[in-house]
Amino acid sequence: MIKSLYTAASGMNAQQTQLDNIANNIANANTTGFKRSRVEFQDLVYENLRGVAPTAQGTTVPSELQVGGGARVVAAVKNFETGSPQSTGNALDIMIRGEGFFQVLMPDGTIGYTRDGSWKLSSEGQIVNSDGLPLEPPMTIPTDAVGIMIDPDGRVLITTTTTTEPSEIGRIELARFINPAGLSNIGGNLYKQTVASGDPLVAEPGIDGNGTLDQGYLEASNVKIVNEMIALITAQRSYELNSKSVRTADDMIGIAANLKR
Amino acid sequence: MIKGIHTSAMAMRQGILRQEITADNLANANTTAFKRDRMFARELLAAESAQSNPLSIETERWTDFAPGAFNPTGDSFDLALQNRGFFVVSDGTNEFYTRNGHFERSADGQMVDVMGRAVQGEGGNITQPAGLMTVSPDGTVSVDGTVIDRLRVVNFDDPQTLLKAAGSAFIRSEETAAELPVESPVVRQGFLEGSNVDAVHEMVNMISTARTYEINARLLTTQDETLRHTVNEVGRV
Repeated sequence: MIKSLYTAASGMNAQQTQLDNIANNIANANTTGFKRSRVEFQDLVYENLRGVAPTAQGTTVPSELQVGGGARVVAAVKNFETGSPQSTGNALDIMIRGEGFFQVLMPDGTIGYTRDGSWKLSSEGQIVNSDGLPLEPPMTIPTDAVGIMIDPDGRVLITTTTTTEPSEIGRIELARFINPAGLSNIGGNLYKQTVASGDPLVAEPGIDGNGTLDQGYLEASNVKIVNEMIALITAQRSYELNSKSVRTADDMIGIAANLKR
Repeated sequence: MIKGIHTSAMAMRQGILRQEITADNLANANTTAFKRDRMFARELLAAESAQSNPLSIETERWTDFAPGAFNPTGDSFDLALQNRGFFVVSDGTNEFYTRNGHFERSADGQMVDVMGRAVQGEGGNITQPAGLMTVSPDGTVSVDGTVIDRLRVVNFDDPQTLLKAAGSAFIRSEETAAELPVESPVVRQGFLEGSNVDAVHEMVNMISTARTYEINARLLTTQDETLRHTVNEVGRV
């Protein structure tokens, strides 16, 4: 009896986590390069109440009597489906079409990975992200540049006041992971490599399966509001159903307690 | 008289067990590929229960292997089996059978499930290079167009003998006969099989369980009352 209380509680906890996750997805429905995540549930260990054994009549019970202990959340799985392109017309807005991540140099010297391609220029002309973290490998736009062109293969070309032919000042590199779902979110649209993600495979865009670049576009969040709303309704109702289990179990305990008057 | 009290108590214990199973089913109403459990009680032969055994009801569990709804996820590592059968995952010593096709690629490129158990292909563990994985309907796994392996899909003649393990998985019991390979599986990429728990069904079960429990409790107290009368009032002038 007490077991069904805990079973129902585990279900309610799992749904609570689901709601937290949905809330985060919806809150980031307009975040550039955001990747939605989905909560993966799992049933808990089963208690074997009776083994397969001959009964009093000498027949064998066909299956063991197993009672499960509820559900839990095992993982929040990130979905790296590419978001839809949004045209901005800004020369330093770059979208990756296909796989791969931009790399930024974190203040602690490690590399952060992002799909958010809304780059800015620092006061020294260096290409940085919205938080001022420099793109890796570093690239500086000369002060006399008038036009910046980024081709699909990642070459950064500039035209200056004195030249008419665009000249290459560097090439953007992308990193790819065997298991991108294993990356850990560190906020600020950045991911960090983990044991689960494996080591980054760094290459130029369009090479070794990396996506190509699109200048003047940003990648929208891949959150689908309708799907999130449906998940929200399901989670809320499941929560309610589990609370009914709690209530019923409680009533049953109450009845048992009132047997002796 | 005393035996009657035991019979009512036994029925109440059945109710508790039934409620535990309903609670577990409801808790897993959103668990990928969860298969709901049903419980049925069986009365022992009247002749036998008239002897010494007051525990006159036997309980059996039965797993409903009906497929759940297919939910599109758009994730290439989500697979659903359209016909009968199970994917096979291995933790190195034991093989587990599951219809939960949510897989991942581990850091060393192995195809694993959420608990890190290796998905079994026809050539054992499936190791993949980085790249876009596609799974054709017959279970052939390719990365960037190169065929890697084919998923092992098996079925059992007597799935009721399988034991449940955590993670919507099953393991074989001593009773389970040999697995049968599914020759032509239909694997759908980008879908997951939902839980087959039906909320309406479970709520109806819950109501009937609670009421049956209540009736048995009432029977028990009635018998207790009768006993009290017998003890305290019979023979009094």
